[in-house]
Amino acid sequence: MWHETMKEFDAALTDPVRPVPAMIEDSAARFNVYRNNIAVSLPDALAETFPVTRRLVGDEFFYGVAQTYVLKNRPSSPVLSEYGNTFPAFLSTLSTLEDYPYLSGVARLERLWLDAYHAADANPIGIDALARVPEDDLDDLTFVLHPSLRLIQSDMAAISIWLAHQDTDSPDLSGIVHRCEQALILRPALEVRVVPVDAAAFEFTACLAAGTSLGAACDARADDPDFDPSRHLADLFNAGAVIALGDVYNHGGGNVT
Amino acid sequence: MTEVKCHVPGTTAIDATGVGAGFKAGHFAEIIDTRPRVGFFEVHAENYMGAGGPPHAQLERLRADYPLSVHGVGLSIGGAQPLDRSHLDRLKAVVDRYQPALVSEHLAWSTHQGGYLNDLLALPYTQETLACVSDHIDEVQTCLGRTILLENPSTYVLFRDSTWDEVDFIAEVQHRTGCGLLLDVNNVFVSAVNHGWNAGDYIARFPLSAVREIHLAGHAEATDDAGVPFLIDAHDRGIGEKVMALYAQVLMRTGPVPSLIEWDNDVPDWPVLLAEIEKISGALRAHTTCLGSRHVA
Repeated sequence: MWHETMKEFDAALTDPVRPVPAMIEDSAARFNVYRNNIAVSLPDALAETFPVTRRLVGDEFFYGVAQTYVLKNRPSSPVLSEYGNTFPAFLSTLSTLEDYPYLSGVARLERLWLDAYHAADANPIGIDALARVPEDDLDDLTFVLHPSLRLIQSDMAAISIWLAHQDTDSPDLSGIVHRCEQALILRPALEVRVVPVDAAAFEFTACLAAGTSLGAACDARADDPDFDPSRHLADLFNAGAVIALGDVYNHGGGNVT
Repeated sequence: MTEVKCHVPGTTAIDATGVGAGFKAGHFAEIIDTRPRVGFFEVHAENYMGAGGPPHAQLERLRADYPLSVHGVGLSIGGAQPLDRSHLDRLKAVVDRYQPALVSEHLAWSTHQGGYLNDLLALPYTQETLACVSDHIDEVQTCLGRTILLENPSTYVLFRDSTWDEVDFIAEVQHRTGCGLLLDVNNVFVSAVNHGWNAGDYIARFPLSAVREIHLAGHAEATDDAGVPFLIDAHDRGIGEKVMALYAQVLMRTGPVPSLIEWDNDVPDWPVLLAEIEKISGALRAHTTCLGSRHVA
């Protein structure tokens, strides 16, 4: 019985023309308080997760799109910081956003930024840990990367556009070239960093993140003139992306056994 | 009536005269720098269900200086469907990690068929929902290994099939489960206006001996589509005079009870919220001299 009423209640919440559940004593005018709460609170949650996306298209447009999205994509849990994983892909399907080809990429970056923000904590190790690895073992060496590390690649300069919005609400975007960009997103301590990297470093990091050994990751990029494993590895350690050496060297910078 | 036990070893107890506020990340630095006299802070459990990061770092730090209360908003205790076990496990992780002095949830539902509706929705008060709510509270208390407080709702609609009065329903749930109660005075006021109830009568009949925490908040005045004025539980301003007057009526009957200000929207700067805390502290202290205080510990 209660389940039936809940079902009716739920259906009427997101359908303003549907009659209020028969069991409700009050008029639709009162039931509309609940309708309004849903219609406002979930788009508000998206607006919090995607602040630059929202600035780029303006409040009116953003909320219009968000309201469409929330009707079809309810949060799967009450943890709203996890809501909106499919919102970037949803944006890329909208023909009304043709003038904003980078928008979906910016939204993807913002979603990954929030994932990194809430990811597990871990302490990065320094590159000096490598000094304890015998040279003969380097090829087989794997790395444990930071649990917050996310990788993003965008073909429409989404990373430059996002970065330009970090200091000001209305940056001049005229100088931004719409080209392919990559970045590492990670939180080595309490602040999330977005670190732009070139394609070679991006691919190398993706290999290591997948558990590929250093030797195999280098072999995979051998033909790329931009590929410089020493530099990429140093950048990765400097960014705070490595928390332990893998396999037998898995002591987080401690003694190698 | 079942005895209500709220003491949990290892927690910092909240003094009965403690006045707290809902914690906002934007106030963190000022709170840590100035160490204001605040009885406790309350957090929404769902904001601390991530694996790590700044939310946990802040809460660990805050907990070192202040007693904590964990307030869940997503368990859907009033729903017909079984509780979401993975969400209950997440709540348990938060409670185990922070060992708060108080844990509370709502007499409401918020999830249906796997979708979270991000609102605290009203339920009818029937034999069926009485069993649902009581079973769910039993399940939560068993899982957490402690009693929780159940909060009375603010509602905008009533159900034709309700056979229980709201106060009697809450009293019966309390009796069956041994849970404590969180009396939201603003919710009483909002619901009373919306349904034409007498708020003073609601308070007089409420099982006040089980109340372990009081919530106070501001509400918005609105007019529905039919032109009838009603109130919205907005949490977007300070506490109004009428709610303060009702709060005084509660304290007359209960003596001091830890009281919390919920200011979740249009959140003010910290000094404004602190001034509101001090205002409530004054009202609460005025009732400590003439009545014995009740400690949560």
